[in-house]
Amino acid sequence: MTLVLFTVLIVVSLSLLLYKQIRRFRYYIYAVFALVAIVLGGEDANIISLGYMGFSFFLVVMYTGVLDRSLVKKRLLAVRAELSVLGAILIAPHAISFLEYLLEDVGVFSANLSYYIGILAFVVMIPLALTSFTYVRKMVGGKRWKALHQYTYLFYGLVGLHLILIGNDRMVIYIALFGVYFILKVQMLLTKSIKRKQNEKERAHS
Amino acid sequence: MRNIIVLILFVVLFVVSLVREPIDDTYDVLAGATNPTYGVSLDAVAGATDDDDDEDEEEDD
Repeated sequence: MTLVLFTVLIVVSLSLLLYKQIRRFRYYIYAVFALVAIVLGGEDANIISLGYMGFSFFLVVMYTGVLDRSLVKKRLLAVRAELSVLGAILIAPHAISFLEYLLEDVGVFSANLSYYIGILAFVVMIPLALTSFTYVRKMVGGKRWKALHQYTYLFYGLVGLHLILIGNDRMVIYIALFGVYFILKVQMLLTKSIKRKQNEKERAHS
Repeated sequence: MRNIIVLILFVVLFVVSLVREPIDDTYDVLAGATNPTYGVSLDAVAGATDDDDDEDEEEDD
């Protein structure tokens, strides 16, 4: 987990400092990451094929959504789509190599539950990642895009379950990460709802 | 407020990770070698249990 959290620190730092460059050169960055994912994403166990790098990017994307309004949030939001695409590129070899292992070695119905949840999470992620590209987003349209991206929360939930159900030594850390996110998100939605109702009341009185 | 909570969470988890996971394991995985901290136990992934019982059986024999 040290590696994941250290990567989160690097991703956040680079995003804060180089958000303009990340947006400007995003397609080049995608290409470099895709190349790295292809080269390192084989059957050998490494930081890409075990999913650590992809998870780090998704953690940043996930927690950006629950931050208070601030310069940090503003800059992270500016590159959120790019970080999502990079997370998807890095997580793809993990999903594909483990799916191959499931089909060829473990057996379709013999794997641990965390496996199936991981695959489901990957399936949910595909349309979300594809529609994170600016031109695809424009093609889909704002309302449909927003409706589709509500499934991001399903994706986060599935990733959390996938990691917790592996049942390794890091389970407590995963519970803390996804538990705190869930609490902050619910608190954020409740605050928004209360504010909206107050505004409606004020408008009605005036 | 949420920003502070997130910051505290990540700092605490980072410290906990550093304490629980040997730093050498992190260097190893970056160098391309897996280890108990960063790796995958194929038995656990496949839903198999530990082999403790087998050792007992051998002793009984």
